[in-house]
Amino acid sequence: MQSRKVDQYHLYAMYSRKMYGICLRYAASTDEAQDILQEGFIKVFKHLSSYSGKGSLEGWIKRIFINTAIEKYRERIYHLSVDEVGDNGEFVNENMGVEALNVRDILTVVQQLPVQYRMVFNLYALEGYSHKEIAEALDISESTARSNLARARRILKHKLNKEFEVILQAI
Amino acid sequence: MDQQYIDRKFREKLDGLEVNPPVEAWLSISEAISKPSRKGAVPVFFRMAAAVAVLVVSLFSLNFLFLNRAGQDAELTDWSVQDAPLYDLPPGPGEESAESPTITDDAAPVTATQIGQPSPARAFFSDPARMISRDNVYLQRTALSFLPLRDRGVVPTGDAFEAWNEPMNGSTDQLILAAETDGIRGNNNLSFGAHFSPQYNYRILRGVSDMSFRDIPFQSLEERIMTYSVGLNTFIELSPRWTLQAGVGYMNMGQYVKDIASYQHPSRLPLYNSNTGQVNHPQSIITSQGNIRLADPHLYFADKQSYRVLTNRHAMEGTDVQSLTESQEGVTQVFRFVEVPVVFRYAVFNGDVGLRLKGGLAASYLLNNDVFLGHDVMQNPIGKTTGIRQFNFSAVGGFAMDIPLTGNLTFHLEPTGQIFISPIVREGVMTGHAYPYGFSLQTGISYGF
Repeated sequence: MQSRKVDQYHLYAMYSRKMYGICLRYAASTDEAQDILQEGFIKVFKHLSSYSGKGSLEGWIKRIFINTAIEKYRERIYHLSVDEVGDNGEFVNENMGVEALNVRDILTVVQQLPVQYRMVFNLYALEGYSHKEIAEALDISESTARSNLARARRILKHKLNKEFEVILQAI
Repeated sequence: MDQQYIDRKFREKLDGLEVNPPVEAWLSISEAISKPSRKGAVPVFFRMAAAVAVLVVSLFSLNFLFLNRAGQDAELTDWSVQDAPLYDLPPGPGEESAESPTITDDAAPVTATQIGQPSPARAFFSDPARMISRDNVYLQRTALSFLPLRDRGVVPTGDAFEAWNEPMNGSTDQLILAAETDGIRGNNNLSFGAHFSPQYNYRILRGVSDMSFRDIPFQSLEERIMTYSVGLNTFIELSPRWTLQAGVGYMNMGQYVKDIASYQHPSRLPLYNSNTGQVNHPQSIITSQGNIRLADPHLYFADKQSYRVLTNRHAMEGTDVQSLTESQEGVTQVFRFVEVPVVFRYAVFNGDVGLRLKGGLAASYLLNNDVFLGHDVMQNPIGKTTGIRQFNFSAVGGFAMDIPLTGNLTFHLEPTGQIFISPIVREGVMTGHAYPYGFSLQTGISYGF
């Protein structure tokens, strides 16, 4: 029993940094990211015996964490008001400051996206899901997935411009 | 700007991002994996039910063994009820008998040996060893049941019985208890019964003042409902005054959520997904007892008084809601539980009709829950309530009138109150806490052995 726990800790030590990075991308706060991290690792330990060895272990664990983030989103979406789910902001400034920002700023900008846009943007831009796969995972239509992605991009551009302006003023 | 550019830049920055999780993260994971899994909770319930069953069987076995001992005692005295000569017993006060001495207040206590021809029954009651402890009341009652003195007109009742018994052994109270118990339920130590209860249900709100969540005045927007419960019970007589009741029941609770307008869509809601057969982003209604997730693809809801209905802003795209026909104003939540009550009953009055006080606890397991349109709970459900606890505990109390129908059959009429001692909604789902309660009139019949 104790040796099993030691093994679990070794696995945790090996992958927790990468998985926490993923959790932070899908969460709106560090608390939420920790929730996903905890739930994800519990699932990993529980289903580790079902890992067949096909593909990398890291890829298998990563999929579990992404699915956990999706489940968390689905749980949460029922308790959100319309205002929290969507955003009507229209942004036109095309200048980009992404090159000048560090990872922390980028992460903050992603975390500030409305939850549905954040999910779609993460799944599409960073995980490489298709719109069809996103629609199935988030229980929305493909057209909604497309429009959410477009809105997420517009918001990101706008926020990055603002962040960049702050950096320029600081210089 | 190329839309792919922003994706690529974010991917470059965030893909493969590594961040040290907080130290306490492993501690909470370690703690969580050490606990039994959620699935283990179900066996806990059954273990609890099994414990109650074991308790019931154990008490019954003890009682049975005890009665057996009483029976053996009776056999050892080698007396037979039928053969016991009744004339050996002294007459009660006021009874005229030329052949037997009359007992007066100043007379010396009559003992078995003074009578000269002691009957086994008289010797049994006169033996001080049998009258020492209240526990012996079992033996006495058993003996009384073997010898139905009252029925045969030998033993007077009430004050006359006390006066008759006082000089004999001084254990009047015990004998009265025994005599009174005799005849209430035909001297049955074990009874099985069933009950049906019409039930009035509502809930108490605690936590935030008036349980306001997003300024929703739940108190004025929800109403009680009438439901019913049924159950099977076992009654084990622990003493003449105390009875243990345990069993299993099926209980309905819930409430009516009013001022929710529903509109009949001519076809199906725009977000209905024909592949899954479900509505994408179904509407939700916030209530004090969980959040309702609506599932009927033909119905669109709107709150007429507050902001309880959550709707995805794409829910009715392309539909003129004003043109829809309003059909009902309100929905009914019903929660169905299987419960295991363990209740103690205290006999306040043992007459022809017994009056008992009862109190105890019940563990209940949520079997399912449904939401119905309007008040009609017989139609098809339109959704489910989320956030309800699977296991709940409640306190039970009330009165019980036991009305003997025949020697073994008893009719029970029991005004009963029940209130949850744990909030029905899981932590974190709502701002305040709702404790459902119910008042019921349990009507049932039990058969004693």
